[in-house]
Amino acid sequence: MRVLALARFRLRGALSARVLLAPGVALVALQVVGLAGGAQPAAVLAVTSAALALPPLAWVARQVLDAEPDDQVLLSALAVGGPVRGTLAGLLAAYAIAAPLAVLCALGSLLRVDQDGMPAGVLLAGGALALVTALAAVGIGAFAARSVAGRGGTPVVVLVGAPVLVAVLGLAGSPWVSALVPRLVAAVRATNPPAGSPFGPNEWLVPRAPAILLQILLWAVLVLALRLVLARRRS
Amino acid sequence: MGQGLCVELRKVGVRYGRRSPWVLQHVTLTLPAGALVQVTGRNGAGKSSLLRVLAGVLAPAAGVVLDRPGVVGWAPERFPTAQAMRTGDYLRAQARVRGLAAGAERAVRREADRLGLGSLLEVPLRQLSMGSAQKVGLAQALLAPPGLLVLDEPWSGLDADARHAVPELVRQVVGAGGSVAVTDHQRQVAALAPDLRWQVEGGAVTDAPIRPAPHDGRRVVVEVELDERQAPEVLAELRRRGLAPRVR
Repeated sequence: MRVLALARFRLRGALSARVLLAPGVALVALQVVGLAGGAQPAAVLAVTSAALALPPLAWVARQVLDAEPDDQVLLSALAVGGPVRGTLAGLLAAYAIAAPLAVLCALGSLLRVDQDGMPAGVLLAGGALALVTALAAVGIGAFAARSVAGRGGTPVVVLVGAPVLVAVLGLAGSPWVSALVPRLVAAVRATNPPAGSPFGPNEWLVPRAPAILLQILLWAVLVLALRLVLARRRS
Repeated sequence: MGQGLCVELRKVGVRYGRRSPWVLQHVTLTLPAGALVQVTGRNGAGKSSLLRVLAGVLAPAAGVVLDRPGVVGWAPERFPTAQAMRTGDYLRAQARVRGLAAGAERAVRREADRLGLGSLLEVPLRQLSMGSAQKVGLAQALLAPPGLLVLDEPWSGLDADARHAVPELVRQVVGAGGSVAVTDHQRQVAALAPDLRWQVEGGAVTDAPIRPAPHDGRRVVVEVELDERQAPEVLAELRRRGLAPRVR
C-alpha cells in the first residue's frame, strides 16, 4: 500500500509539473505521421502504432521518473522504506501513464481500419501489444532517468539509441540476436503474409502474436528487474 | 540515554564516484538509543554526508551501517521546494507513504500546529520562503514518530516561534527513546545538552567528549521508578535542566 501511495504521489507530481507535454506532442506527431494514408488492416495499424509509440513512451517514462528533485526522491525512498520500493513506485507511476497512452494510440490508429474490420483476435493482440510495449518503454525510460544516466547527454543517447537498437537488432537474421531487444520488428513482419498466401494481415498476425507478446513481456520484466537490482545495490 | 544500541557505523567511507576523493573514511561510531548527538565541523567537512549515511539516504562506498531503526526522519539542509504541489497535499501524501493512511490528516494537523504551518497548507511549495520550506522539511520528518531523527541545520531560516519549537521536537523524540543527530551552525543545539558530539574533520569523525555541566559539591545518583507513559515527559524535563538521565 505504501508503494502504491508513493506511486500516486509521483504520478500526481509528474502530471502537475507538466513535464509530459513535449513527449506527449512527439507521441501524437509520430502516430499521425506514421499512420497517415488510406484505410489499412487492423493488424497493420495496431502493430505500427505500438512500434511508433515505443520511443516517445520511453521519453514519457523518463520524464515521470525525473519529475521530482533529487532530495525529494531520497525523502520519498526513506518514507516508503528504501530505494528499491522507491524505485518500484516510480516505475509503477511511469507505467500508469505510459500504458493508457499506448492503448489510446492503438485505439486511435483503428479509426482508419479497412473493410475487413476489427476481428476480436486482432483487437486482443493489438491491446496486449500496446500494454507490453508500454512496459518495455518504461524499462528503457528507467535507464535514461537521471538516477542511472546522469544529467549529461547520456539520457538522450539511451532514449535515441534504444529504439535504434530495437530496429537494427530486430532486423538481424538470428533469432538469438533479435531476442536481445523487444521484437517489435517481428510484430511488423507478422502483419506481412508471404506473397500468394491465402491469409490477410489480420489472420497472419493472430497465431504469431502470443510468442511475440511473451518475448516483449519477458524482455521488459528483465530490464525492470535489473533496474530494481541496481537500486538495491546502491542502497 | 537508553541502553540498547541504535545505529552503528562500522568502518564507513563516503565518496561521490569511484575516482572521487574520500569525503569520509574509516568512520566507526555508535549512536545509542535515546541519545542526542551534535555533529560539528567546518563547511564542506562532510557533516551532511555523514548525516545522509546515518539516515540511510546515501549508501556508504565502504563499510556498513547496522541497526538503523525502521522509521527514520530526515530533514535535509534545504527542503526541495521545486515541486508542483500544495504544502498540505504534499504532507498528506508523505504521511500516506509513511503508512499513516487513516491518520494522515491528523498527523499533518499535529505537525502544522507544532511548527506554525497552518496558514501555509494551501500555499504551493514553490512559493514558500526559505524558513517556511524548512518547516515543511521538519514536518515531513516527524509525520511518523521516528526512531532516528536526522536534522541538517534545522534552525536555518526559521522564525522565532519555530526556533523555539525545534528543541521541544527534539526532546520529544529523545524522550520517546529515539535518537537524534543534528548539525547546527546557529549554535542552538548546545542548549539541548547533547549526549554526544561528533567532530568531522579531514575525512575522519571523532567522538568528542561533552564537557559535563559545572557543579559544586558532591554528586549523587537518584533512581526514579515511574509509569512508562510518564517517562518521555520526565526525561524531557530532566534534559531541559541540563541533566543526562539514563533509562533502564
